[in-house]
Amino acid sequence: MESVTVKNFRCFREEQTARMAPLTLLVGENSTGKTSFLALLRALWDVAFRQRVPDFRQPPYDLGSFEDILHSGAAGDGEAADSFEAGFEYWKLVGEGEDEDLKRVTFRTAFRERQGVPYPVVRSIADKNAWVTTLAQDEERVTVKFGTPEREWERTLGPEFPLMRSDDALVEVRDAIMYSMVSIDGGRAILDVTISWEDLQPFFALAERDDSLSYPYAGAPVRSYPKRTYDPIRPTPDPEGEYIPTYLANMSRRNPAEWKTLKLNLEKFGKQSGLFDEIEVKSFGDSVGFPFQLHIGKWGKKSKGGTRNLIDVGYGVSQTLPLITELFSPEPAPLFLLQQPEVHLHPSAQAALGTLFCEIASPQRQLVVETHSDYIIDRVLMDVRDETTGLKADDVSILFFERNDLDVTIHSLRIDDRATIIDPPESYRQFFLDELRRSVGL
Amino acid sequence: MCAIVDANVRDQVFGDAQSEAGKFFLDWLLKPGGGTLALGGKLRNELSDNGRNLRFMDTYRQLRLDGRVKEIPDGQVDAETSALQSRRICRSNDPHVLALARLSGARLLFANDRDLCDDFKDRRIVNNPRGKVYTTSMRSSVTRVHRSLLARADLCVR
Repeated sequence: MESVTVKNFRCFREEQTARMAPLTLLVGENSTGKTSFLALLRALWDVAFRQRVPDFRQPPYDLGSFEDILHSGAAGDGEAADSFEAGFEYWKLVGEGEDEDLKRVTFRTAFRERQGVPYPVVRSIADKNAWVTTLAQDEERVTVKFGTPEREWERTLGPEFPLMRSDDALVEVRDAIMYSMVSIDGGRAILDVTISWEDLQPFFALAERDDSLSYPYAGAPVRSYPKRTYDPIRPTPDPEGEYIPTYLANMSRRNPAEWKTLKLNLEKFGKQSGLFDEIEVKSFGDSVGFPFQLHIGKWGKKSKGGTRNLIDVGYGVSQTLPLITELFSPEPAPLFLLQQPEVHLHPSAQAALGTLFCEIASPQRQLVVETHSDYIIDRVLMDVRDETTGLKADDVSILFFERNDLDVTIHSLRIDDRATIIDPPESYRQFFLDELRRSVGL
Repeated sequence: MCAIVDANVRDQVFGDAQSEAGKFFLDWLLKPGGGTLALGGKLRNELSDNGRNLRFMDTYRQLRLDGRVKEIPDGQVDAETSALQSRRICRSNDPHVLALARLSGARLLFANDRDLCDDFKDRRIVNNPRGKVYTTSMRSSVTRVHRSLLARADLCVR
């Protein structure tokens, strides 16, 4: 994602666009919409790439009903708003082999209330050469508009078309545009629009589906409690990381090569953060169905010592384990949505997380981190300044969420190559500076 | 506005021997919309007392997080210092401070070293705009001159 646009959503009334980067840090006081912003990113992913109606109450988020999500002051200016809008720009990989290319694509959607929950009635996708928009008129009719800078087409489709009963109207229409190409030679023209081969060319990139992308990882701020002994469960991902111990145990039993790599990475971070030096799975049998324990080793300066049960070491280890396991996973998510990863961690471990984020963030693995930790932010800035990882200044975006009465403004802050934040608003660090002034007796 | 603090007034601003004018300067640095601190080269270690001056370290960290430290890479400061020395126009033994001013655009210097202050006001060394000096060598209390210097917005090269 290159940028995210939002309007009339939760505390964001005015339309505003936030700059996204491989590593995006969300900062600001409590109740300024940072978590809502994370929830929106996942919802947009659902609509754009999974062609489904997003569930704004799916853990770890719960934004409530449509009424709770629509900006409370959206009815201002004398005209009641009945929808909220959002969208994002992203780079889409199109073509294959030598024809492979990246295109900047804009996805926009507008939500209205249907049966109490937000329903994406408008969806559009566009690049500089073409655009396609679907507007759900009601539960049975969809108006389809598509065009190029030179020409536009419009058609309203009724219930006789199967796509009208589907939630993925936009994708079906994009497919239909492609299908219409076939119809030139006598195939069924779903859109019943005469369109020449030349006019269709600009739609090819848009029509390529993005649904091979895996799902974002959305972590909860508080992870599951450690247990002395685990009974294997179905390792289905969940925001609290309940499944992580079983995931680790299964990997150690079934795929020793992958486990070796993951264990090395976990232990490397464990050492850098001061959390642990060793992690191992102690199984009570050979099969994946047997109970197991997770053991952690924390070595002294001169001696290694043994390992201890995960439940017997500091809470920070069990709270961090789900997060770092996901980050080091052999099949990582393309988008990580992290809420306060610093919870329960000593500042040295928080700083180590900052370095880990710098090492992992990339255009293919985008990290969006909601944080109150100066240690994370400071470490990121230092690592960029000192070029200790591959992350450059442009790869970092700091989104400062500032409350103004009932609304929130998102300030997109950039850093320069000396990792100095460029032109932040005066309010950005006011609390911290005031505290320091007081502490030095000013 | 971007300013440089010389090592010889470090304790007046960041140490236990704070003067009234030193305190006033620190307050200006830390208040929202206040000053920007230029830093780089040898001065970095001098001000931090090689990491031992925690008040400076705290101030530096908070200002940096607020985007109000103009950092110049040490190598650049060292090179500019050498270039200045080779011109033989500096009277002071702190050419690294002058080099920092030339590179960072800072045009306000807090210092009590007479030679350094003279060099900083020398148009051949620091110019466009000419450097101004905030000093406590005459009076350590806050004067009208101190106030007017910190109220200026033009003492920095963009």
